This record gives sequence, structure tokens and C-alpha cells, in this order.
Amino acid sequence: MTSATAIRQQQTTRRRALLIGGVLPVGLTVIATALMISWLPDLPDPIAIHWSGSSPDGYGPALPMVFLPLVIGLAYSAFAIGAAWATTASGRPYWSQKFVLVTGVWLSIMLSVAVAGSMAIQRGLEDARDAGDVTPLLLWGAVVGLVVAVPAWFLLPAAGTSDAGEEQPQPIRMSDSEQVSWFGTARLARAALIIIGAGVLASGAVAIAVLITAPEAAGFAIASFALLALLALLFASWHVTIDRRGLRAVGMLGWPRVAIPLDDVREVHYVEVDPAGEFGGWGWRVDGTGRSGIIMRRGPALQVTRASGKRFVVTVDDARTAASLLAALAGTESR
Amino acid sequence: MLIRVDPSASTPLFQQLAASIRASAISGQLKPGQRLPAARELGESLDMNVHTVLRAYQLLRDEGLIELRRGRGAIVTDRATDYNGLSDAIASVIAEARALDVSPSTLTALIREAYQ
Repeated sequence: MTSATAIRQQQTTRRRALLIGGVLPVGLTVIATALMISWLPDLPDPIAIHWSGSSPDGYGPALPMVFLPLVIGLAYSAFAIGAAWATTASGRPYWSQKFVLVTGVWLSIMLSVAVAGSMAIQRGLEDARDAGDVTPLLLWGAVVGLVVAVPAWFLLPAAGTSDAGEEQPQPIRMSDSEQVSWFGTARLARAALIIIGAGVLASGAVAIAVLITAPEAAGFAIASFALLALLALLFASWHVTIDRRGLRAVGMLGWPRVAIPLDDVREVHYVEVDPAGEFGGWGWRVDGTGRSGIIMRRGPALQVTRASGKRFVVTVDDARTAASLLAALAGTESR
Repeated sequence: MLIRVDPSASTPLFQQLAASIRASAISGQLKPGQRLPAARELGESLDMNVHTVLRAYQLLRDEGLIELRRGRGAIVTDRATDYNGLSDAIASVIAEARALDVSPSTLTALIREAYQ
């Protein structure tokens, strides 16, 4: 699907991504940086850089703070534009790419207002200890960021979906007296397993470090680690069964479970999914078009449209056989 | 793994079930180390008595295709890969028989003869 219109659309998407995800946020942080540089002579040394409640409790030199929004803005923009470069086949961005791009707009405004604002209120002070409250600045930063980020979303082209398409499976031939069942698994892709495993290990390391250095605060760190590890175990692998009763997907520990009875199956499709592009990651997910699903890896998946019109996707191994059997059992071709 | 059985057929159900699982192993859908569904689960799914499923599992264990471990269920053994060569050989024997117009019953008779 690399038609001329798709190529033109892709060029438009990339141009807007550069503008909204790059020029706008970096431009704003450059302005904030220029302002802060011009204020340097009026600032106390050191300046207040951290607040607790309404009064400062951390101090440091001004120069690193001056460049903080710019450095973060540049780094995030590079990441966001990189992430938005590969569009859908129609040339439109995925909704998750749009989200990443406008988050950059919000982040750069939030940081610029908060950091530049915290310096503005220190101009002319002899001692940074007299600096006022920055909480209103943080709120203003967040609100102004949102006010700009929302129109930025609409300046980007409308989101597309992976047009790899829905394919109607060929129902398996079976006689009325035959019993046919399909057993499969949906297991997390290795890349995702490594990322999530690293996250769980890191939180475990943090919990141990907190336990040694500040035992009184360890409860929270241990609870976070336990929760992360439990979530990873719950969602990392699923057993999927298709039989006379319908479709069932059961998590590794027996919960959570999804069950769709046969008479609730309106349509069955064989689809291709892209976890990051369409669902914004792996796990039990919802995409921009309201599809929910168990998304464990990129590639072929089984998609069921329920009687209510809701669509459920699961990235099972041998999705084609699974789709063919479910289509035959539900008799979707005769409706 | 696709499993199909036909209760109206003359072959006993446990043999049909074993044949279906064996076919999955031979075609490579089932890999060594993979666990088969629990007997109770498989029985409920296929609307079949759990003892029938266990009988099929025991048959496959006697063939060395699966191992039955208490608490861990039925695990596919390395033998599943050994079948690759056999299934290739069967395919070429059948191709040869077709080319020579040898009927299926004649072919099975020939194999039985040679096996003894």
C-alpha cells in the first residue's frame, strides 16, 4: 500500500511531527533559556532549586538549571520524532505516536514555566532562602502546557490504524458429530520480557537498598516491588482455548480470565498487530479505536467482534488455525 | 494444537484422541517440553470422560511421546522431534505408492509384512 497518496500523507505526517514534536517544544525551551541567561546577573548565588512545602530546602548553582529545560526538551524531541517516523501504511500516524509528540509539547512548556518561573521569583534577592512558593508555577506550567498540547494534537494528521488489515479466516470443515478443540498460548515477546524483567529487578534492587539505608520507609518500596512482580506474573503468559463453549484466555496464575461464549461471537478475523504502534505497549491493552486485547507480541493475532460490537484481540500462536476454528464453531460465515 | 474427535466414528474415542495428539507432535505443532492440557480440562473441552482422556495419555506415554508426572501433568518428550524423520519417510513412501498406483490397503499390507 505504497500508493502516491500514502507517500504524500506520510510526508505531511513527518513534516507536522517535526514541527509539533521538534520545532515547537525546542523553540519554546530556547526562549526560556535565553530569558534565564539574561536574568543571571540578578540572581542570588546559589539559587534555590528544590522546595518542600512553600519554602526552599535545596540550593545549587544557577547555570545547570538554566539549561535543564533545553537539554530535556532536545532529548525528548529526538526520541518522539524517532518514534513517529515509521507511520501506518496509509501514511497517517498511530494515535500513540501523536500522544508521544504532544506530550513533548506539554513537557517542554511545563519545564520551561516551572524552571524559568522559579528563577523569575528569585531575581533581585540577596539570599535564595527568601524565595517564595513555586507550587502555583508548577500548576500554571501544567495548565498552559495542556492548553497548547490539545490544539497541537489536532494539528497532527488524524490517527490511522495498522492497515495490514482484517482477514476473514477460512472456517475449518467439520461434521456435526465432530468435537474440535484448539489449545494455544499467548506468550510475551522476548524483548518485552527483558524490559519488564529489568524493571522488576530494578524495583527489587531499590527495595533492598531502601531496606538497608532507611528501613522505616521500606514498606512502600517492598510493596511496589511485590506488586510489579505480581503484575508481571499475572500477565506474562496466557492459555487460550477455543472449543464448543467459545473462547477462553486464562492468565498464568489462573486469573485474570476472559471468556467469550460462542453465541456472543459475531465476527472472527485474522489480523496483524503492532504492540507499540497500535496499543502503546504490551499487556492487557486498549487501542485508540476502542479495541481491547491481550497483546504479547507483534504479528498475527485472533480478533473477535462480540455481539455488542466490541472487539477483542489476542496474539496467540498459530492465530490462523485458531481463527478458522472459532469461525467454524460460531458459524459466523452463515450470518 | 488442534484436536478433533468424532464420537459417532467406530474407532474408540481414546484412540482418536491419541491419534490427534500424535498428529500434532508429528506435524511439529507440539514441541518437546510443551505441556498438554490437564486431563480434566481436555475432557471438559471435548465433552469427554476424564478417564477416556487419561487412557489416551497413557497410550501416548507407553509410546514414549509424553511423560506423565504427578502434579506437573503431561509433558511432550524429545521423541516428538524423532518423528520428523519418520513423517518425511512416510510422505515419500506414499508418494512412491501413488506413482505406482499401489492402493492404501496394499501399502499397509506391505509395511506390515516388512515389519515382522
